[in-house]
Amino acid sequence: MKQSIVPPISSKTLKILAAVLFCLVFALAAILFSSWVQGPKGKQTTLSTYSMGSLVQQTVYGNQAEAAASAASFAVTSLENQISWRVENSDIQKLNAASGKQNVPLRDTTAKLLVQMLDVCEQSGGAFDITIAPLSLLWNFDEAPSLPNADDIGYFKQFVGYENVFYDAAHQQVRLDLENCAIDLGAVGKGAACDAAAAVYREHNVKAAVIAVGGSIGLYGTKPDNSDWNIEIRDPNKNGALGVLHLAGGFISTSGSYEKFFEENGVLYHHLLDPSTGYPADSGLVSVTVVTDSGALSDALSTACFVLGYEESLPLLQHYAADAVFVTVNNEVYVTSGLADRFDITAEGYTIQ
Amino acid sequence: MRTESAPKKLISPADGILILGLVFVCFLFFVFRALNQPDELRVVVEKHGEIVYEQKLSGDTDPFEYTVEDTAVVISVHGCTVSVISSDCPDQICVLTGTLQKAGDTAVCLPNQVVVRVLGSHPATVDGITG
Repeated sequence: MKQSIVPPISSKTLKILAAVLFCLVFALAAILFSSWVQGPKGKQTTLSTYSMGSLVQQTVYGNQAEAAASAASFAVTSLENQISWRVENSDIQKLNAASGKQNVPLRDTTAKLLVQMLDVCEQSGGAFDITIAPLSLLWNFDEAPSLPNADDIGYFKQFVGYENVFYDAAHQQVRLDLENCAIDLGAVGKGAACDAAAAVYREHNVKAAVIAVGGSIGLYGTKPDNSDWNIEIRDPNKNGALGVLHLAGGFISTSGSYEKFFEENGVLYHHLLDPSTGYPADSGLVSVTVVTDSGALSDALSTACFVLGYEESLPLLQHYAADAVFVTVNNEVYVTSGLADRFDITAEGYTIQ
Repeated sequence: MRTESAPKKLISPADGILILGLVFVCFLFFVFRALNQPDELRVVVEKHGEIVYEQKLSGDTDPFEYTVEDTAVVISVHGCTVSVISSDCPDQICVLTGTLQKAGDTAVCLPNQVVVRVLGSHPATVDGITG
């Protein structure tokens, strides 16, 4: 019988080796499978910076994540330097200083924002008014809030009125036609910052990102695992969440009476002023969260809706194809139809209408 | 039935089933382990956007306090919970935030540019908080 030359490995050893090999292959398959089940994570960067008197938090996904996040942070600060009345030589400071006198040229971003905001002033019937500055300065919620006397409120109210803003589109210049009239974009700065960040993300081919400037949030792109973005709405009455919005994208802003307020003689005064009365708006709401496709718009609309109240907000929201979640002083929660399937309430003590 | 002359199969069908069965059990074990990692909590403190302190949270450690460097912000760690117990800021919002206990809970002291977060090993379920 012919003897074939074989290495001295018995068939039993070969079986064991084969079994071990299979185990290793399947272990690898198991690890890959569970990693797949958990979902792709992808390259991700987080960055915390400070602008506009707020914490700016970003989570950016994609290959240029770090560069994009830095650039976005810089864009937010640049925007603040352009539109904040507090910043020396900002477009708005120059504009306010020239009230009743001459036209002031505006940079592109400021002009574009102003035009967008004047439209909201108009559509909201003045419930949102960018010329609120004389009143907001009087109440001084950002530094030392106190109850102004009624005469002062009456006096400064006369300088409030967006109809005093004259925009010369041909020359990209603005004039405030009334002396002492002044613009305060504080109500929309954070939302506008989210828009600025989104533009940066686009330039850097970012896959997905979320930016939060204070409570204004901008969502960009799609998360690596293709799931919805989960945005928590703060409970206006206690610590914790009211509920969670599940969104494919968009910009979100909230106006709430609980954000800035003080108490005097047993009465609560909050920072969301009604331009027509000069006093904090009394519309039956404690908070309203607006979701739409522009940050500045979501911020302006949340302010407008808070002043208008639930019923009167609906036509305004419809005009801009925006959606909102309202919380009333009676703990009722209203959700507009576009968000009906996308909001899960988790807090106790509220009734969804 | 086996013969002494060179067997054609290395592994008989019975052996094959046994091996695949064992391997499948290993597979299930790996997957189960990977999917059921407990969430390990840790506290992370940022100052001016940089992480200055990080600590695992465990029920076994004794309570302790930590003062964020060059600030008057003091946090207290008790078991798996954290809270800001004192700060020199005018509004005391960080202190009023109360106890941080689950992944994602955060306290912010704006004037000091300090952020105290509780983070878990699982990916965050919430992408942002508005309001």
